[in-house]
Amino acid sequence: MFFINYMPVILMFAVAAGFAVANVLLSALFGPYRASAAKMEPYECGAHPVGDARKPVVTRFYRVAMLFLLFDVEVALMLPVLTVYRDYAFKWVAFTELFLFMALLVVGYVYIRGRGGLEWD
Amino acid sequence: MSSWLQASNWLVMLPEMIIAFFALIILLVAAFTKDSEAPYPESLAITGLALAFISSYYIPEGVGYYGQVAVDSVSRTAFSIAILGGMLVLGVVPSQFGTDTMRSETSALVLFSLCGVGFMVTAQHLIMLFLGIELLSLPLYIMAGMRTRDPRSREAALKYFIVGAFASALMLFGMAIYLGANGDLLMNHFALSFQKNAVPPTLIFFAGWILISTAMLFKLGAVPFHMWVLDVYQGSPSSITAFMTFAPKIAAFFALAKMWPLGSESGLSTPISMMYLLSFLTMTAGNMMALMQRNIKRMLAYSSIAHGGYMLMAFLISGTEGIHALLFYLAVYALMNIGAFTVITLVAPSRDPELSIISLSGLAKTHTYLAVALAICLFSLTGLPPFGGFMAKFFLIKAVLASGNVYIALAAIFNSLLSAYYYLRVVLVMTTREPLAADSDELISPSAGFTSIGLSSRIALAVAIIGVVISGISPDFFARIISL
Repeated sequence: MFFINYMPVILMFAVAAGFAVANVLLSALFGPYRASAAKMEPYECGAHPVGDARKPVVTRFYRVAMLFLLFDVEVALMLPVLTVYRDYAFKWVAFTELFLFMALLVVGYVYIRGRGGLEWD
Repeated sequence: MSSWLQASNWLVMLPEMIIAFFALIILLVAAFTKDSEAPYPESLAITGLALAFISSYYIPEGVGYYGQVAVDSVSRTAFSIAILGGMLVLGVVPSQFGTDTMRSETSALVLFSLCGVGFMVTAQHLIMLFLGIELLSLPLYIMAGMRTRDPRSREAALKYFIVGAFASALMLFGMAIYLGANGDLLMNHFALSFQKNAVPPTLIFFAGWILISTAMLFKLGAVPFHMWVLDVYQGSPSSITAFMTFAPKIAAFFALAKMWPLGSESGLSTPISMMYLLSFLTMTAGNMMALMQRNIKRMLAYSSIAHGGYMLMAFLISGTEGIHALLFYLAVYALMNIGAFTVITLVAPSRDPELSIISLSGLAKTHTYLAVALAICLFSLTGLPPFGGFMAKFFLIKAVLASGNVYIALAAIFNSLLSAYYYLRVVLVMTTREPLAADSDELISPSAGFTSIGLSSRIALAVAIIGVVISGISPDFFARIISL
């Protein structure tokens, strides 16, 4: 039987799910229920919720967020290179490639600055 | 490091490197100049493409980057066709976008896209192929939406992106299965599994193969996967549509040629009957639906689907003959479409933003040269004798007949007859109808007043037309030019 190896994991899942469901059920059944205006508000980290969440956002935020993501993901793309860094034959190749990659990103950054991609107004 | 560089044989990717380098230069130039004073970014792009084209003659054939890519005469020729077509399209781009929009970006994106074509035709590893397909497609999605004020253009970009993302997902899924079946992602497992006396491929291998092939068929708009073609071709700027008609097709066809058994060489009947059905459906459905179109760009979109169907017949032919016929067909097809879409780019904005066929009424009287150019392209697309389209179809159908597939060849011939109706109707509208009353005599395209800008697209049009005529009169000479 294949699943027998995973029995502890399955058991852990069952206990965790059972614990959560049982607690929610028990408190709903036996807990006191006294509603007030403050309690019925949606929970928003302490902030007072006002209006609809689906309101227009200035599109400039999207542009900045997009550019941030572009340069942020670059780090994620560098991580796999580290796996070949120990291999002596590939060491300098990887080193050069990383700098080449950075140079390409710098071209992109210069382009964005030049075209006014980071100007707010 | 030097030994690694030698072993990697990096020179095989020199044309792609030159193209990418020039694309970056264009972006840097764009960063320091304003759009209105853009110093003809297209000329820079065309220079880069010319250098890449010349360099592709001198680079050695062979395997590079530890088996990731391989350059042979077929991949080199396919890439050359794409580069030459890209140069012509870049000549038309100024007329499309005028002086006030993103010409630098368009030029750079065309170059990046061509880089993707180069990756796809030389790829020997599925990761490389996936990189190529994304590098080809992402610029195309952007360029489809280049006319940001036009809702159709935005719609085209979004639809193209969603369908393209779907195709990419299918391909990645197929690659995962392929990896499971073979242990690595090298593409030579396709050729090994489809050898005549090979061990029959497992079902899991077939699943991966089908999924990856489907992604390619999406890219070239074969019939069960063709629905995106119409809206995308219609909504995109016309000069970009010209690029879309041939660049992804070249890339997808030669990627498919590496993973599909050609003709009966595998001894398996399933791939042959699948390709038989795909080719028949694609050409017939494309032509049937083109008959009903009132919009010239939609009509040409269906016609490009139908031509994709003819070209799929090349996979029914064993050996290299089919591939050579396919190369010739793709070269002529690129020229015909560039010619037709250039005329549409130059004529349409003044006449009818909706681009109905009727709006071309009396074009022969108002703009004789443009009408003649469009007529030549349409005759050639039909497959009439003095033009390249005839020779392309002739070589392909001859090879199909020699391989013993009589019925599909007959279907192709009947489809060509059918297509004559909708191509020649446009010629009829141009010649016999009177010009519409509201029509002005001048071209009010963005090129008005900028004679040098209009000139480049006229030169591109002339080169395309000369190419269509020469390929029909002297196919050998034409084949030598594109280095067959």
